Amino acid sequence: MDRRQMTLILSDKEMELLDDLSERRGMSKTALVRQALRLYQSVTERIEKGEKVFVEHPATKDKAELMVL
Amino acid sequence: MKTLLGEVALFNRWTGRFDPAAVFQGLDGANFRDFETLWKPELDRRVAEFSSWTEAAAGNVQDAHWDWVGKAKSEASYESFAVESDGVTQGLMLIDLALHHARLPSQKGLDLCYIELVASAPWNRRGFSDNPKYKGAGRVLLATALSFGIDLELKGRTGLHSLPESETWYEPLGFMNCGFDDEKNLQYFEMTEAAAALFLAEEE
Repeated sequence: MDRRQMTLILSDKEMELLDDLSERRGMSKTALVRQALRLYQSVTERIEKGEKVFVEHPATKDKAELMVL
Repeated sequence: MKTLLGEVALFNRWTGRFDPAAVFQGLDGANFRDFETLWKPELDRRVAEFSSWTEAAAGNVQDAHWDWVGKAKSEASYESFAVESDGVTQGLMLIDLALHHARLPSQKGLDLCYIELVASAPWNRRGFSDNPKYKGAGRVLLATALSFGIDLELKGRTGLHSLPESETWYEPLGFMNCGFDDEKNLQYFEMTEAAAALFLAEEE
């Protein structure tokens, strides 16, 4: 896989979030950012096609629409 | 963009020898052309011999309706792969790396590599042909999915929904049957990190 390097400037809060998610997902920060990009790309393309993106509670089936800015 | 991932070998049942094969990430016009002109007519011909989708399992042809060309281009989060030998596409796979999460209790909620579609060319399948040609295209593609996932730090965690005709194929490879998924109307299988490591060690 081809790889390129870049510097990412984050606030303390964003860095804490990255550290926390990296720990919880069991991934390095780089892998986490890659996964986040894939997900964001997929959500963006769906919304651009006019689709809505929901999260659903498994038991109650309540749905909440994801708002993507 | 189509990229060569590596050279492998497929067992040619007709000659009793291993033939060189290549695994690619990304599909190109040649793969789509092989599907449309070589795979699809064979699949359509065979599936027409059965009166229902359930019965088509006997011909190993329950995937005849899969639209590889449309599907491969439908999701940004898909990665596509092909194994080629003898100048022809012998196997195809689509994986999704963003929209699925692990279900097994030991890895519940963690990211995983989800195999959306995987298939060997019709002429390589037992049940489809009385004299199938290549053996191993499916295993090569599965190993590719696991390795790709490991490279992305998914640690080999892999999930898929199986067609009924293929259900017996996955458990011996290390997948756990997680039960029937009502949403997909198919059995869901998942592989753990340990099972993936074991499978890849056996493949080496």
